[in-house]
Amino acid sequence: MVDRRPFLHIRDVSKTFTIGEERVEALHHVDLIVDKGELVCLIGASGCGKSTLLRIVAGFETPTLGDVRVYDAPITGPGSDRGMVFQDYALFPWMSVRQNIAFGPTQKGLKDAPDIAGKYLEMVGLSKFADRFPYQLSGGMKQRVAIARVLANEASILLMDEPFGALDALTREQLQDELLEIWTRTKVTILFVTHSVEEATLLADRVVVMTAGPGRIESDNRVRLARPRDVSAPDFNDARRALTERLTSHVRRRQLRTAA
Amino acid sequence: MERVRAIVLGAGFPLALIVLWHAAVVSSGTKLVPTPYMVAVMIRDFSFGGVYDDAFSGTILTHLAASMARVYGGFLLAALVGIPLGLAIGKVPLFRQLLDPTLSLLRPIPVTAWLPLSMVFFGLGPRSAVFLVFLGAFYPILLNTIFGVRSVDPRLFEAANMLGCDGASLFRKIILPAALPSIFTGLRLGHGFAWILIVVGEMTGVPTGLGSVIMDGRTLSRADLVITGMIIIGVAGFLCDRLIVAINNRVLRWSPQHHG
Repeated sequence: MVDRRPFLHIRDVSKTFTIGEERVEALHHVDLIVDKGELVCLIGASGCGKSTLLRIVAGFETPTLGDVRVYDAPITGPGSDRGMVFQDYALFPWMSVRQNIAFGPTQKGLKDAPDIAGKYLEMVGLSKFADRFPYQLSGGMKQRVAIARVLANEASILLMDEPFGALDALTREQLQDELLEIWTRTKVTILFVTHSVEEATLLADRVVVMTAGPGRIESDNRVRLARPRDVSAPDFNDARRALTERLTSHVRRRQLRTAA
Repeated sequence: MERVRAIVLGAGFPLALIVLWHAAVVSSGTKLVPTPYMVAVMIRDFSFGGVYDDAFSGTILTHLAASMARVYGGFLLAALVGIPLGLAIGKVPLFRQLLDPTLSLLRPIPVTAWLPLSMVFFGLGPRSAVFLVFLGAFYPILLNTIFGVRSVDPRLFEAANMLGCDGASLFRKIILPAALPSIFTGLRLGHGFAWILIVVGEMTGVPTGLGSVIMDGRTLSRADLVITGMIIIGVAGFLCDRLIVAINNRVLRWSPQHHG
């Protein structure tokens, strides 16, 4: 029997921050359904609330209005079913790579935590670096550890906040490939925030374009490209251009309005 | 070559000072200050006996052990109280609101100003010295622990939360290790103060201890004994500091920038 309930359901979420006297509406009535196993990219200019939305799904922030549900169960705080991969890694610097990955399973009191860590160490290709500390790793390696850490915790939703933004181009490409491989292998659901149209086109089943002031969803676009995708193929280029237009059209509209 | 240069310069300067000291004593003809040679003889007698054979001959271990017991008694007590209290004040608003104003008022009072009261509380004797050492070491340990807790990257708390770590285990698994670099800074500072205050504490009618040796030297107008006590405190304090640095480097091997 197929579960007909929506997997991840963001229901009419608004978020207002109060900074001193000023109230800033970061999100304005956002609705979004993500199916199990989908890879959805959130894209938009800075200030469009995409990171705030991700942090609400993670449970780090509570929405001012609306709620987020997983199989109809409202999210009330951070939980191990949702794992965040931060842009700045947020690894525990005093723990070895192995200890970082084993942290979630150890917290749960699992006896086979070391085996679980070993499995995910191998999945991200860091078995040889298991006993290193984070300061001894490159940025790409740190992000692999961060991904393995949430996978080892059996997160069914991976929340990734510009995870490859701080990496050099070569490492980024490599990690994008590895992420797709892991995604195929583990069937994990991924909500991926990026500001790169190319990255979104390469990775996503769906690209959700968000706009600022206040943050809301502008359009929801399915990427109908076969995998594996080739960034140099003409149809990839077409898809990317279409998406870029989506992303910039409202900006241009606003500029025209301001000019007039 | 660089090493030789460091040794020549590092050892050469104190040697030059000793030569200058000798020349100054001899040329002025003073009887109040001994020559370096007389101090060296005194150190030998204090350590092994066989020169003067008086009440101080060969008693170094008795005095050193007495002082170190007080220094480390007070120091460990300060760490035992200061670290947990610092963790609580740093993380729990209730503790901060309750204790911060009081501690801020008490902190500017020089530890030596407590001397008369501590003699009332603890009488003339070693317990008064331990109390002063405790007070002197307590504030740097407490304040650095608070600072360490407050500067933990909030992302680490979020990462720990989503991996199922919260409540009391958050203190042990995240806050304590993350604050360790600061805590060690506090321990090192507190340790320095402890050695400073032991002399003050032992000048109050304690029969043993390096501070009492210095006091006795003053009473007996034996400057060679005074200087001997000073040198032994300097060497002991220095060696113990190196020990703390070695422990620091071992415990914080995950963070080379905090190595001493």
